[in-house]
Amino acid sequence: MPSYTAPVEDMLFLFEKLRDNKNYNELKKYDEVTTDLVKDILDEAAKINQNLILPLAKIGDENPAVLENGVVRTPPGYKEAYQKYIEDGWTSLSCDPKFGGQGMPKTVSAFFDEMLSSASLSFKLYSELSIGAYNCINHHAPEEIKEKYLPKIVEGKWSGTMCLTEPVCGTDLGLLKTKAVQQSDGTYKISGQKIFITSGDHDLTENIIHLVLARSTDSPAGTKGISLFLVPKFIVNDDGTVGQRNGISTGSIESKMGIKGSATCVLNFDEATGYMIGSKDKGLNAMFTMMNLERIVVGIQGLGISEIAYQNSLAYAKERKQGKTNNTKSTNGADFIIEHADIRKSLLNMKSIIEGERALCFWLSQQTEVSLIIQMIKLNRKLLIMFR
Amino acid sequence: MTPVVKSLFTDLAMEITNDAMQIHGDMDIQKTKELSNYIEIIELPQFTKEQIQFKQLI
Repeated sequence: MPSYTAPVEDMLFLFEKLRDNKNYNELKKYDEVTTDLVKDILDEAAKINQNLILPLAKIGDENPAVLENGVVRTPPGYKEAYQKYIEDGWTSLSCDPKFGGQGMPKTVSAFFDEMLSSASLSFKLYSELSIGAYNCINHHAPEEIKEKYLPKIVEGKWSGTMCLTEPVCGTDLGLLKTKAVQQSDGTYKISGQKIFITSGDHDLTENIIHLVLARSTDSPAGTKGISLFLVPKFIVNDDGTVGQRNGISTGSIESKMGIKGSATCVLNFDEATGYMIGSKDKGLNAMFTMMNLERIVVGIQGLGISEIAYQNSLAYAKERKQGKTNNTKSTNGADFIIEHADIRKSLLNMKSIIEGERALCFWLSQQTEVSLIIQMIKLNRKLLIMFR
Repeated sequence: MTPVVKSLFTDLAMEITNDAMQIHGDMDIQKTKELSNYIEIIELPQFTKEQIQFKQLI
């Protein structure tokens, strides 16, 4: 089984040396987040990732997620691990305390994301899009929707997805065919098919909140007629409890070469009830709040996978003996392969790229935070002017 | 910047994991061995000779 030790010291080094950033300091939001506090968080994060999440990588690979009678079953051990994961509050790390979050900076959650990507990417994907959905709803949805959905998403009891791709469109969203028909009560009926939906269905949470791009019947063709809708797997009652099943079914799950524990679904929407998020025909703008955050997290996935690959190849190079080097000191005919020049070159190349990536992620997380908060301030100013 | 990070880190992860696999296959050892043999047995004396000639020219 692969081994993994979270690079907490490297992360703390970045936190201490790179946090002094002019635009970021002006926010004055995280002055109380000290290095000691971050060290405590990262130490705990290292423990859960090394002890609880890492074994799930092998389990997920050997027992892929399956679709049984229209319901996705996650690999053995995922449910128990997810329960512990949400009990410890890891889903709420960078969320607003107003909705039950811990209010940590995105730099800290980026470090946690890296550890989780290294430990088990399949497991990580079940909670990854929840944070994107949280940010999208928090920035674009009306207050009543925020209050109804966000606390459960932050708590990890409900998860989120991002439904963009269809059989006819992916990058070119102007071709999108899913349609939304407005109802007399202000809700919409969503019909269409979405594919490649990460964690589109699973048995880890009691509800799944899909953020779906669709075209309203009276909207123009192309990207200028796309709106964003919140479509829950189970309709949420007025008191916040989970009600009847919405018109969403899982058609199939993808058979993949890697991340087999993660369910990548085909979702069929059959007059499913949806609620508009943001302005009509401006769905792409709202979705880009989520997409921009997810893009960094996908980059971090690459970083996490690189880190665990480096750690395991380094460990192997220190224990494997093959051939003699030019300056051999071996008496039994072979040197450790780490003594060979080209192996050292490969390992150092990997290490230097990983450290550079981690620093860039840290900086980008700071810049994203600055841009999101400035957007909110501008929006609040606009609203103040409008209602004066 | 976010799409650049997404794309770059994914590409680099492909390279790094490939290098990690190659380390498990001892691939680079053979390369180093062949190169060192080449320098020691065949090329090094010639190179030294030419180097001496070059120094004399200077």
